[in-house]
Amino acid sequence: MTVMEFNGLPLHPLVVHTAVIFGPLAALTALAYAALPRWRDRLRWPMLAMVLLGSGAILAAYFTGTSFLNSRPELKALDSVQLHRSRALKLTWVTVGFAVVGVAAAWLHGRDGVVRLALNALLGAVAIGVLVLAALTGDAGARAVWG
Amino acid sequence: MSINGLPLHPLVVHAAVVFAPLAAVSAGLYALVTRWRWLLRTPTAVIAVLAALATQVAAMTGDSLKETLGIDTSAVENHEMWAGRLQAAVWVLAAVAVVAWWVMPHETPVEGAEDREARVPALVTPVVVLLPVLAVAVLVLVVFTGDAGARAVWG
Repeated sequence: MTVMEFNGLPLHPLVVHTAVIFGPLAALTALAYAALPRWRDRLRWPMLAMVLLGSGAILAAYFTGTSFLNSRPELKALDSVQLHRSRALKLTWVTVGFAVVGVAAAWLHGRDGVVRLALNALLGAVAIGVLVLAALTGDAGARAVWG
Repeated sequence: MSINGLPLHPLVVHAAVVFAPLAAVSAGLYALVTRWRWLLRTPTAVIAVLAALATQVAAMTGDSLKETLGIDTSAVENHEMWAGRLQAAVWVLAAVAVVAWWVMPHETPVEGAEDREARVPALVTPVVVLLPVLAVAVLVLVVFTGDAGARAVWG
């Protein structure tokens, strides 16, 4: 496994900055899109852009994190790292769902009735999932480094 | 200063690391690409002010973290030195971006929207020159500050 590094430093703590900012911003944009009918039309493309940016950042954080852990296997024994890792795995799967539902919602933006209702409900649910899991994952990660 | 039992500095730093480069890129494009000026006008001013506030809070929480940990290695000193320069540069960028928001003219392709006249024509050239210079300074300084900080923790 190659170690992902940048300038002699592990890439994970760098990439994490974008996940921490754009993950929650994407979730909030998606929530606004799903919950505020008056903003829906205006938020269609910003929502899609933010969903792609936020999901990409979270996935990048996950993969660089895995690489970082493989480069320092001794960290795997720490409970704090295990907790960060298991939450990150959940966050990653919810994020994949978030990306899929976000793209579907932008794609089927013009639909009415049940389709719109179902997409809004799903998007709201996964967005809340991303928000909660991102906070929990970040907290566990910070505790592993600074706790 | 801490949140939930953890130091606040590494949390706040995320905002500075993302918003300072975004502000720099947005300000540079705003000044240099006349066609996009109508679009970037407000985002540039807002993101630049956000970046300055984030950097300010990062610097303040950083001082507090240094005191709490009681460490003053050369890596920490180096990080602090770059951070002081970044702090100055990003505040100047924010100030000029707000002035630009107020004085700069632009043409808009949006139907029904009106073009903007220059409020203070004498300030247009200084703003167009200053913004890219400040943008490059902020970009370089945020990279050096972040690199020095990461090296202090992970190096």
